[in-house]
Amino acid sequence: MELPGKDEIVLRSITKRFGEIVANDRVDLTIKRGQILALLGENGAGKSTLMNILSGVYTPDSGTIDFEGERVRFRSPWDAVRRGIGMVHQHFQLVEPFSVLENVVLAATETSLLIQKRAAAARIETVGRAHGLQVDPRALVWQLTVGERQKVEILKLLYRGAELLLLDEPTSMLTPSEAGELYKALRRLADVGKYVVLITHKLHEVVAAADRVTVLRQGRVVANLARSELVSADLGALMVGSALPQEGHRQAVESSEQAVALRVEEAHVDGYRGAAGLKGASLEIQHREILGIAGVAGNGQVELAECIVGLRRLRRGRLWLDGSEITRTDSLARIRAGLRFVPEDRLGMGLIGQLDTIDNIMLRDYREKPFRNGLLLNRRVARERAKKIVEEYDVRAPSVETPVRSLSGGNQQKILIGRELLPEPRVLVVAQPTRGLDIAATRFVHDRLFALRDSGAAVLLLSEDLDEVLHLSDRVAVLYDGQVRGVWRRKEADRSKIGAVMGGHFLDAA
Amino acid sequence: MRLEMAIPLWLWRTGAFIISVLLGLLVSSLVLVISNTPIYATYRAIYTGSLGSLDALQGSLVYAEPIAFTGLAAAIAFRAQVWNIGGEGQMAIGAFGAALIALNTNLPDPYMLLAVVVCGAFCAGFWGLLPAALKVWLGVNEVLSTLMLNYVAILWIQFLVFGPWRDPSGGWPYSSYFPTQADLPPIAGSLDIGVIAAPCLAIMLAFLLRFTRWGFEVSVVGHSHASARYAAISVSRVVIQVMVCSGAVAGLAGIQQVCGTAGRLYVLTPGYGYLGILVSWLAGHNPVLVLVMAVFYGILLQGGSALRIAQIEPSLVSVIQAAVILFALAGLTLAARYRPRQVSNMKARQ
Repeated sequence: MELPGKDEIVLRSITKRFGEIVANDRVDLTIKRGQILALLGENGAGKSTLMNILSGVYTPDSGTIDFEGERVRFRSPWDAVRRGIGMVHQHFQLVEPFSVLENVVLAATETSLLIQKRAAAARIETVGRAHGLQVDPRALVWQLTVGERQKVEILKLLYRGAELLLLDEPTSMLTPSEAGELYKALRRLADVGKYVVLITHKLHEVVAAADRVTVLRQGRVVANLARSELVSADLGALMVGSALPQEGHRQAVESSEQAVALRVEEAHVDGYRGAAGLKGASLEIQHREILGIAGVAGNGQVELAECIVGLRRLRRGRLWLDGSEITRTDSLARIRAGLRFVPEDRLGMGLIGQLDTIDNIMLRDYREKPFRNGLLLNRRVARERAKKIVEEYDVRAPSVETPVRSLSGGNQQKILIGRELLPEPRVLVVAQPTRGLDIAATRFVHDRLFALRDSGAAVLLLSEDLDEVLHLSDRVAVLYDGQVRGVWRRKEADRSKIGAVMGGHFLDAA
Repeated sequence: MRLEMAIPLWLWRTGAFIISVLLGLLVSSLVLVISNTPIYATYRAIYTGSLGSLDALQGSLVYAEPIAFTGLAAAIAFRAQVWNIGGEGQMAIGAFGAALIALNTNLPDPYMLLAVVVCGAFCAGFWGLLPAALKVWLGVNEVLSTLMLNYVAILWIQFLVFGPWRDPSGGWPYSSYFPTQADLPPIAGSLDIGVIAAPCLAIMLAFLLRFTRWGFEVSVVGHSHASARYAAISVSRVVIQVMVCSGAVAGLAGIQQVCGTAGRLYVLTPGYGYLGILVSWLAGHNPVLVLVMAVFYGILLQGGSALRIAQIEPSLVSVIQAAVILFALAGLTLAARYRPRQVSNMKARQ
């Protein structure tokens, strides 16, 4: 191996264990100045662990890091920051009520008690112009679009003089056109001599942006490829491994009855703080059908789900469940009518982290019969149910009395979905069902949703992951700016058409 | 690691508590040394004054009684993450409600006491309802409203005992004595029925919170309002119920003070309402542990008054009490945060 040069950062043989799990197994990685490196891998492949090691959050069990020819050991994130390493997290770390200026200064490394606002604003504008990342320093963050917020995140790093930029799944919240802009900005940064690392599981992103790619699978490096060697089909196989065959969409069983399970007519819902809300969204789902809603986050998905299940009031519009109008009924009546809901906020809403599986199983049905025992609760029955779900869904938990917050995201999601499917729903609204789950858990959840549909239920799927929507849905619709724009049957659904509508380019056909 | 895992939770907590109290005493000893006070004699005086004899123990329990009620009141509210700082005022209004019946009616024996307790608890519950209603309908923070209503309540009692209800035969700001039917039945010496009522109430509350549907709702609201909405639980309803209950229980402390200890209405300002908050935190808002902590605090207070009798500088008494409580609270908080976990090395990967 060649000697570590002046213009590269070299990680050698990095190993990191968490208990039994080896998150990184002797990983070698070279980052070169002026290049964009893509770190490709599935959820749980060890990408985030590796980047957390590089940014000082974790210390490796073994292995070395050479920063431009100098051996470094990071004892804290602060050490990494001082070395010029900066990370843009998938979920932005911004203080929303603060201005851009305040957010940038907050992240800065100089320790002066007074903030020189005018000078700082001027510097932000200079840095922004130099890198094509203009944002008004006085704008408040909550008023910005997702794409602009990302620019603020990058500006934060550049302002404090970061040399190495790590971006974790940077396009997951962006429209295709915003993503294109981001790639251009990253290219400019590389051209002026920054180190850029893109962490992703999207193949087309690698092809679109990277100079080199390192593929991780189950904590190991399985390939190092230069741009000229990139063929996206092979990358997919490398990333997933050959052992796992591609799972297919399961066709719904054709049935003569075509009953509408849920109908939303011209729904208007107020958005929260500049979010779109709903502006006259209409849709229909039949029994034995999965309707997938694609769209970039913040276009009314949360409002749509919550107004259907009764957690948000409709300002205008009407709702029908199985032919009877439910516009004015409360959420309890809708639960009792068989309308169930898996919210995207798993621990904030769907489950209570401090409570154990038993109590969480009762959360929405503690008033109903097997759990209800006069004025008392029947925890014995709840325990049996909890055990049944743990067994059926293969939940890995020390016991049903463990607080659910100490379980992994996948296991939490299994408990949540298990609970909502237990009473055999007529209609299920499910939001981001597999966010943060590994392949096995994702597949498990998908199988359950197919099975639920085949049992006759209607499923409304809201997901930011277009691949998931395309994979699961019998019909696909796009939510843009609070309205349903375009509905396709599965056979007619086409990635590029849907992508265009997600980005606000409506075709005449749609 | 292995060794830690073998320690059961209750032992871990108890151990932490005892060690913290000892540390608190150790730090107090330093203060005693500095101020040239004999250490052994001081601690001996505390012990004999609060635990050393039956009389001394009784004195500790007299202090513990009202604190147990205000502690239980605080625990109910805090379970639902409703920050009722108004125990002091609700207690005063409870005493007012009791006096309202005792001074203005002359009911026969069992009915008088019943009416006194019901009226007192009702008034105190109403005093808890006010800030709850303000919170639910107008979004007023309950910490501020309950705190300020304390002063309103105390001033109201002051007005009564200096004015219309003042005992015409005495010079002090007290009401006339209540008729004897309004006295709480004594148990032994200076102890009254409250010594039995408080544990019964604690067990009832523990049962209510753990096994009933209402208790489940309180727990859900206390952990997450979003989850409560998702479970179709009305947060407003639970907040109101909890505040009314909490107020009524705090009111019992006031009733006990005027019907048990004093026998007439006076300006209650011994701070039992605030001590209840402290005791509830020490007990982790667990009703049965609230009793234990109330007795513990009663011992500290009784030991303090024994020291005053033994002519030890009163400010030193406060220093000892403060040090012990501070250490106990810190120790229990640390023990809760760093308790050995069974799954500590099963953390997520990412």
